[in-house]
Amino acid sequence: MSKLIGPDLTRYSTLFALLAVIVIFAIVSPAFLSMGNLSNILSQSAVLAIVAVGLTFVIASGGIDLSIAVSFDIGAMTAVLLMKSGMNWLPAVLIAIGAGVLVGFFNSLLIVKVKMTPFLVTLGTLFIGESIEKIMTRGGEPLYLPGAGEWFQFLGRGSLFVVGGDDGGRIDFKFSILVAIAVALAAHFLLSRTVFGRQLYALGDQKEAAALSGVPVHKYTFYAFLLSGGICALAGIIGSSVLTSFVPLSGRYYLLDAIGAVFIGSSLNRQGHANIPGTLIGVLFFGIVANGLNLSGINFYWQSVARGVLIFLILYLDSAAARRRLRPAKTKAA
Amino acid sequence: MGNEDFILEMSGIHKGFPGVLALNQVDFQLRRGEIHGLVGENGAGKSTLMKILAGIYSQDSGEIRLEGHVQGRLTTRLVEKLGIHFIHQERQIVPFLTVAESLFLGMEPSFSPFKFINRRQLERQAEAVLKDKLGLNLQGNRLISELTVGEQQLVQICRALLHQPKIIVFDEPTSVLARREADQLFRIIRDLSSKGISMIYISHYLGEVVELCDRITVFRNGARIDTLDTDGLQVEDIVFRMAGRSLEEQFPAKNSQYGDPLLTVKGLTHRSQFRGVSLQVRSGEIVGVTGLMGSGHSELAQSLFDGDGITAGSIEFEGRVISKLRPQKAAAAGIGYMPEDRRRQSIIGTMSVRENITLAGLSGISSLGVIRRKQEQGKVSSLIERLGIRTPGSETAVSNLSGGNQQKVVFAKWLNSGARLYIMNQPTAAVDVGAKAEIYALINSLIRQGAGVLLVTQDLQELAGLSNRIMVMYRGEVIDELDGHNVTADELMVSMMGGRSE
Repeated sequence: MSKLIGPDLTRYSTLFALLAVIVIFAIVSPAFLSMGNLSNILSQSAVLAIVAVGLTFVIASGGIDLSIAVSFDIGAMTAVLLMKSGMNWLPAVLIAIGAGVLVGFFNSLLIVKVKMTPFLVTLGTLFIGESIEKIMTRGGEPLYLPGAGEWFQFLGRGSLFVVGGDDGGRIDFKFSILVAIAVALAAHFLLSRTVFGRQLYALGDQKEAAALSGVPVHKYTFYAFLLSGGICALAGIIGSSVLTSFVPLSGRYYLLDAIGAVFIGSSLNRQGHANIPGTLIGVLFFGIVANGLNLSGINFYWQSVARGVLIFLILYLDSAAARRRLRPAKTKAA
Repeated sequence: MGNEDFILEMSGIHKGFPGVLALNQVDFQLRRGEIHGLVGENGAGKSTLMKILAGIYSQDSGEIRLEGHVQGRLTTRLVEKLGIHFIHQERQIVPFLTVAESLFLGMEPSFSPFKFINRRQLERQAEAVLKDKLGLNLQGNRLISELTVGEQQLVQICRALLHQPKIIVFDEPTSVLARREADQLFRIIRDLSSKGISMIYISHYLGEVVELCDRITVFRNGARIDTLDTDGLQVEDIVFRMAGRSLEEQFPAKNSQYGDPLLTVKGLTHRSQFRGVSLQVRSGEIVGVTGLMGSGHSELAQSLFDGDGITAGSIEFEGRVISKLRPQKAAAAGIGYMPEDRRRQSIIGTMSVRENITLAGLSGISSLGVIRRKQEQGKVSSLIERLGIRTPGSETAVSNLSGGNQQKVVFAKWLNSGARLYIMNQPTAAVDVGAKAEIYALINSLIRQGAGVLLVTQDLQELAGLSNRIMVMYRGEVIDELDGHNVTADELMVSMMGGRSE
């Protein structure tokens, strides 16, 4: 029995931490718990949620994708450039997602065919991609899209419904939240219900055993990176809709938070698997912390420090949980 | 209480693992300065006993006395302090350290109060110690990775000697040594024994054990069968005690009604491991493949499933030629592979029993790529019951199961995938005795249902007890084919060494 309680406590400690953070913010700033602010947190988290969902596939496959920042930017840049050149929003968005998929294709080609490690490959892609962005934008100038169509603007800025009028109680449910929920639901279905999801986890845990069980290891590694690239490009497109412009290197902002969110999520899972509900909790964690620190009036740079500390804390909890998971397995092997 | 003659007394040691009793009331006594051999089959209990002595496991009941003093709970660190040291292949010393560094690893401060290590001084010290303790001339600045396995072992022994050991345990020390190195090791062991150090010597090479040891304790099925003086002892006496009378009963009666050929291999050649291998497995037949370590039989088993490294030859399964064999193709065609290294190649430790069982046969319980949960659960439950997999439930992580039950999960995986040919690479390695017989019964039931088995193993009893035909490999080639129905372990041994048995 004690063996069961141990890892479970570690598992839920992330949840306790989240609760503690909420309670502290609620005390420090009464506005924090207002419906208006909570809906705010959701809209502010939508883009990160989509990025983190994309990354979840790669981490489930046992890899890492640092180039999500690039997929994000390439998606935004392609969409903005195409629309600037007069293309309709829908084909522009689809082609932009395709551009993100292409980034994933490039990564997985090097990983599967050249057999480089995901970390090094995607780090390289990150450098190359960000340099290309700078070249395309004369050193990093934002690309404005003044005449953006209504439909495109609705992606990131449109509201599904608004309740109440005054500032504090105004509930604004953004369309982007719906996109994030839809993407998350689809991803969750893929990971938890399908043959692809099951076998992706298998290869992520023990690649050789998965391969020798007939799991198409290479194909699914490919899929994971294609999904990650495409989904992160979608997030970038929504981000560019929010700003009605493409701001170079903005994907970077999401990179560490997304990784942190996915790891929080896997620490909540019994098997230590990256999973969508967990990832979303992780995303909310970051959303709540950012929002609460903001309301408490803390300096922006200190907010980053706080986020960094949180990531460390969570990674520590995760590795502690992993150690506990491993321990019984070791002693019982007779 | 304790007898003065004995440096170590372990009495009434009891140790159970989920589903198996590893040690049943075992008594073991080690005299001062004696060389005491431990023999028994894999899983007989000798390793478990030593792991208890090493502080890796703790006994469920029983008492350990060292020099007459009852010991409480042992830990690996405490054991070392008490003067008990273990020499074995697996606990390798760090390969990129020098001889001197690995010799004094963790003891550097004794040379300088400032933890400042004088490299040259350390190396000279090491050379002196090696010469003095073992009569060995070895340069202190050589890297461990540059040494032969035998030399590495001697460094380990020397390291143990620096700690004023009372007992040294040798676990399969000669299995990878050249003859000359083994002789050198024996000389050293005898020398240490004459200096009053007690030694426990575990080995499968019975001839060597009789020659070297003063006394021998034989284990079988988790029990101590006998402790014998080696004076005038014959190897046959030990074998008889190791195997016991249960040997015959362990193996089910052989099937001799074969069906159509399942697997036909012609002239299969690997990049480096084997050449020109031809064999056939029919439905209802068990074909054994064996050889000395490194003969290519293990690689053959895996290549017949994953196609890795194959440069020539043809593989035909159920009448159809499979070109460019890949694991996916093999699994889809109806071939199941049970790898040698279960933990790394066979099971997904973190995943549940259910997920492991259905991993290779998901297409049968899914539509349009979506898994039908109910159907999966039903199949898994019936397989757990049918194979007698002892697990708290289908959601238990498979790493929490005992070795034998993990192997049964692997059987279930291929049963569920609808495999008709099973390639088994050392199927009972690291499986406890009780589960062994169950696995043999399982193999037999597969055969009776028309499956074919390619049994790759170095366990000669298993090979002779199960196989209809036995192919013997030597240096990458099949050099012999023996009739499995009336073959003896001796004939097999001769053939494996490269000599024709006819």
